[in-house]
Amino acid sequence: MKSLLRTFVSVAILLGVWQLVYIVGIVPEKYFPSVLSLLAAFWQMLMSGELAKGELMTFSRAALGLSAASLLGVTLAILADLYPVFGRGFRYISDVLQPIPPAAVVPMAVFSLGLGIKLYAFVIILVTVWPAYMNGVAALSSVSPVQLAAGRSLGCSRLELLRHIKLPAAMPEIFTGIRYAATIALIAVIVSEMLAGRDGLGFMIFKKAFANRTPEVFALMFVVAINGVALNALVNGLRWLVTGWHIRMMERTE
Amino acid sequence: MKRTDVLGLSVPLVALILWQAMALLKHSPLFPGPFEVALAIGSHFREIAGQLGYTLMRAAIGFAIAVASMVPLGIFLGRFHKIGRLLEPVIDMLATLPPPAVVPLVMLFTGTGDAAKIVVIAYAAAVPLLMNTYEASYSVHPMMNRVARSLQLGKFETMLHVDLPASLPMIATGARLALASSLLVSITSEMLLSTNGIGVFLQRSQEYFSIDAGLAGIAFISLTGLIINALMFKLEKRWLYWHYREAA
Amino acid sequence: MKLSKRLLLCALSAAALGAAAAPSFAENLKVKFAYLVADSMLPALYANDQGYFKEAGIDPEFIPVQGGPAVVAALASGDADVGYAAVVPPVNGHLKGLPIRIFLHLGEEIAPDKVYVWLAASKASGITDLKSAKGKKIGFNANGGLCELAWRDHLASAGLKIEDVQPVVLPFPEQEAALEQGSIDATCTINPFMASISGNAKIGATVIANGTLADLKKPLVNDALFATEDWLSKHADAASKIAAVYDKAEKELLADDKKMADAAVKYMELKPEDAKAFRLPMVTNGLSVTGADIQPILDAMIRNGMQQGPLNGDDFVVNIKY
Repeated sequence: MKSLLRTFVSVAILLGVWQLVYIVGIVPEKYFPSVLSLLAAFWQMLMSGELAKGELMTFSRAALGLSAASLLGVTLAILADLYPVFGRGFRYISDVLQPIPPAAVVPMAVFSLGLGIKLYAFVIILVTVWPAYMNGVAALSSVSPVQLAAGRSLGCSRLELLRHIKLPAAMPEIFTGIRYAATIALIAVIVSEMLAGRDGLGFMIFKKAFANRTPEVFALMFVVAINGVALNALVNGLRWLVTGWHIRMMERTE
Repeated sequence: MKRTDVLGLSVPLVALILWQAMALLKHSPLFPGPFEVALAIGSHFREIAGQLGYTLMRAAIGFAIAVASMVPLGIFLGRFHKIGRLLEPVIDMLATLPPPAVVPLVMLFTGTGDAAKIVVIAYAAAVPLLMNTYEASYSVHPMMNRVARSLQLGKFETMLHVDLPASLPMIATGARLALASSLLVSITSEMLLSTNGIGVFLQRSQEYFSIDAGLAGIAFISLTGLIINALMFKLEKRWLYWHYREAA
Repeated sequence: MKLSKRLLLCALSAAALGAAAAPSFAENLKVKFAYLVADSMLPALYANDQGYFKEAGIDPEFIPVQGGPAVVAALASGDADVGYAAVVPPVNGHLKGLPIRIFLHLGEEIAPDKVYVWLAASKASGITDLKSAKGKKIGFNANGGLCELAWRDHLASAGLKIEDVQPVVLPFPEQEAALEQGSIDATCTINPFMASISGNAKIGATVIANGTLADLKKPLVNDALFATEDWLSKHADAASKIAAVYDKAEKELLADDKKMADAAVKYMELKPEDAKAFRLPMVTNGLSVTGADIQPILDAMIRNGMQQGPLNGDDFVVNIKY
């Protein structure tokens, strides 16, 4: 409930800043419409039902893609931790792939992957897998040696060490990675939708822009932004479940 | 340099061989293999290298702006956690806006030149930096806080002498992500508001269906990212030796 | 908790998959159209709602994409059967070894009134004609597209080269703001954006040239439908039927201004005031295309250094009777 309130406050802050910029009038109204016309555009899209349809597509794609990519990233990080040779080798691949901008590779990927589900999977995994993987590797390798020694002296095997000591200790940092991944997963979905052009918020933004409907475009941008919060709430909820002890331990009194 | 990591290198080598095999099977100009890409690198070398300078310059400026503004902000929000909690959704919202949607908006204020691109780059780089700094600063070990209090450090001193150093390892991870996204968004912004830079080369290649040339450009970007990452890693090891010593 | 999480994921994936599956009609041929959001596609979208495709035994699906090259990419990947875009992208694709051919041309330009591309300059830029564009920032929507060709050809007619100006590649929807705020001095644009720019008093736009080429005495093909050679050889009859349906819809729209404006509002989501200025591009001698129709644009591409010649128009087309 509290987080819902905070989201509401945040939206209000952003809309307020927007309206302020509008009132100051640096940019002509035609290109920077008032909050009122954004709301009108939002209402119209809501009533016609197109917004709900686009929203459902985009959010489910982002959530699904993020889950798959995060699982993959953590799995790879665990593999890299268990098998250092794989870790070193995969590091070369990740170093090579990570700097590639999706905007550069996506239009070329369309030739091989088409405009369907394969394209989405490729783009989302390509960009979203790294934060979970990188934070995972970093966190797994920096688990305190004291903890590990304690585990070993209790007779833990390598796998048990991983399961009971390393992973729990690494979870907070992994989730920070996933949280970052959540935002870029959404970006990846929007960019793909702009390109694949069938449905979703990204497609709607592109279609409205080409119809010269500025208020609709910006209203949709706000909707995308709110999706960011929703996706993060999902990640934070999961994080609380998985790493609750860490947060509780770290809770400080100001 | 240590001795060559033969086993480790075999992993990417296998990947390359698989790629080449797939290309041979597909046998299409739209699916060039590593060999064709290498040829394309040879023939476009000058053009790409010339454009890369613009891209890197803008990425560096944007990144620098992001570091200078977001690390202090992150530490601050972590320390004054009530404000941080309040603004968390704002950060989340701003972070989710994709460059193709942000660029037209930024253009309204800064035109189509370097300034517009640098703003978008700084914006993108800010996200991982702010998130990691905030997270790290917020979760500074309680013991540290007690130490700070017993030393009677003020809020500002605590931020400077306790929160910042304690957060550095995680800031470094954030910085690496931010650097990657600076380069990434630098290129993306060139594709959306193109005047010069490697993004323009990529776009031209795509629009003329020269997939091999496009991949050659991407290979260059990869290489650049690789070098930057390696440098970053070296610096990290040098500056954060205490963290690594502890973990080793 | 575990179960409900799984249920949620399950429901999400079902939603994602469910929406992708469209209803199919067993007896009708399914044809996927990938199209650029531009004027000449209007009759096809209108015809679909009128049920003309169904009557012809075709079950179409329409996939709007962002640019001409993306349309060609969709065809090359096999995710679309028929593409609609300007002529330049399929020509470039064909030259790169993609087995793609143009089978219908939809719009053509003829001087002085049937033009659909404009080079417009803002008052503040001080540009009054092509010559004065020297050294200025000029916009166009994509590299290697029709608008780049337009700039190159018109500049050449004024004795200038593309190197004499500063090109800025900018999507159509962003050009008006950029013009008004002085980020660019002139731009190559199409409708509905041109209508909006010319109605903007703050820009005070001057049209310094119109039409894709400087010389438009002879008709010049503007945009076209194309498909892979494989699809065309298998479905020659379907290509003819598409032509017939398209022809019928176009005639209906041209006969009734209100119908046309309504269609522009409905399918291109234009604002009603923008839709009034909407004019559907046409071809004079029927939709079928021959090598000779394509040749002028090929020659212009060669002349302006966008491709190397010689090129023969016949290699790029398939002649369809309907």
